[in-house]
Amino acid sequence: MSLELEGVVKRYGERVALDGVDLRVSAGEMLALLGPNGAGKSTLVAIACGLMKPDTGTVRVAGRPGVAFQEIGIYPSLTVRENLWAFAEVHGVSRRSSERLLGSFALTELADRRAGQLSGGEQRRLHTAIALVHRPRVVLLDEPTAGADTQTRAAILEAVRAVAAAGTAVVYTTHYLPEVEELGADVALLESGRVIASGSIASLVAAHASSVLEVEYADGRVVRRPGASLDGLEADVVRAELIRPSLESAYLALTGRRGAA
Amino acid sequence: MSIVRTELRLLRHDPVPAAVLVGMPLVLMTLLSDAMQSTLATEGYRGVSGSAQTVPGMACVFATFAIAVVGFAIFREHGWRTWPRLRAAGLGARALLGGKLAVPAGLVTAQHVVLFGFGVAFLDLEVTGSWLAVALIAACFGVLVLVAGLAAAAALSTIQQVNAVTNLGAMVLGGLGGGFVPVESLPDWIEPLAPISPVYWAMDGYRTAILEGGGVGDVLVPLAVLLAFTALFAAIAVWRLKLDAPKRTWG
Repeated sequence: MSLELEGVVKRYGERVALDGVDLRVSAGEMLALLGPNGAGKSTLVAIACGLMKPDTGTVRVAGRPGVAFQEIGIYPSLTVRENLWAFAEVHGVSRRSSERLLGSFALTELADRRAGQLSGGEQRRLHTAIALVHRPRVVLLDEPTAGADTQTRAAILEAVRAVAAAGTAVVYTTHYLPEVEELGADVALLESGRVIASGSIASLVAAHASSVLEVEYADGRVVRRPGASLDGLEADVVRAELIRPSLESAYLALTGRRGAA
Repeated sequence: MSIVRTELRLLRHDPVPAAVLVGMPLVLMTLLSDAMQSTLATEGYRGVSGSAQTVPGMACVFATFAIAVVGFAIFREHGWRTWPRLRAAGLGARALLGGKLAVPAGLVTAQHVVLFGFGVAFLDLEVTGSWLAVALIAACFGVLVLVAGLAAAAALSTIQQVNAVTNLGAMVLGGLGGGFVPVESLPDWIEPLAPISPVYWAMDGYRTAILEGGGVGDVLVPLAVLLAFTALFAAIAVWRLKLDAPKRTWG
């Protein structure tokens, strides 16, 4: 097992951020950690990378994990290449080895540009690449595609697939459910600090998803009802959207909320 | 060493603040040395160059800005969100803080070498006593400001506070301690307060070695007081240091 959390509890004062979380991620496995804001995803990442200690429970990680936190962490006055070098040196790996990531993240042409001069998406790619400089056996990516453009999203998803194929365990938090389906990752759904469902996308869909009709009325009310029938709708409907059985509808059934599109 | 390399790269990309730390005292020394000659003469040091006051004085005042150099080196990692990455990479206090102190230590050393070298070469600075005593005072004062920088970074939560404390240290304590003009030239009511400033003790030692022909044995008291100040700042740093405490920067 590359990453294993058992009975992890973390409190901030009175608030319980994680409430007995159990997770296991094997080599080469991708686990998408889903859940609404405040569910405990970032706390879990901080604990898994050793930045925070759990109040109780145990955490076992194979080697030093690579981590990309939600907020971009790069040296803006250094070049892209120097950013990779800086973290390669921190991890005791060669600078040359870190440069393999320039191509993987579409950064080759930007290698000698200062990171502070990059666009948000380019910075996001560099930020994610840094997590992989030391070829970690476990990678923790906290919302790596938040606010990312199409190219950035594609590059990050491709890199995630590649590192998983090479045997790295990947934990990936996101609000973008189509992204999780695209990756074909296993899912753990976190709510109020607890894992309320986990498994493959197919198993979650089979167990929890059904067609849902989401109806928005002129007065702003949003009503969701099972099935696909339009019968019985009131007259002032401004939008009616059918959510077919999918990770989205499973997520909706489990949390009462929709993921990000 | 990885942190030191990163700090050197950052310095190479943005050398202006470091250059100002060396260049500005050079300008002030040059402008003030003639005026300071007559000030020293009124205190009985006739025929000596004013650089005997301005070189060590400016060295003390501008070395004090290293408080900000150390503080900013730590705070900007928080602002750039690279600090948690370094922590998650397993770097502890020794690697992080040692790395953060190394480059400022080099800067303070270079600053003193350039200022005293310039003083000797162009401003007729003459050390009548022991150069070793001068070097020891410079080294102790340098360590003091670096540790003070660490204490400031540990105890303060915003970069604006670090800036304010640095200005206080350099300008107020520098002036009070005789960094700009000899303490004897300050208003009578201020003179008794001067010993609360570390600069006072550094200048006391410098004066003994530069103007009064003193050797290492003659500057032991100022050296001991500087070390005591350093111990105090080190205690504050140890007491207040929380590696993962949030720090607010300009962002």
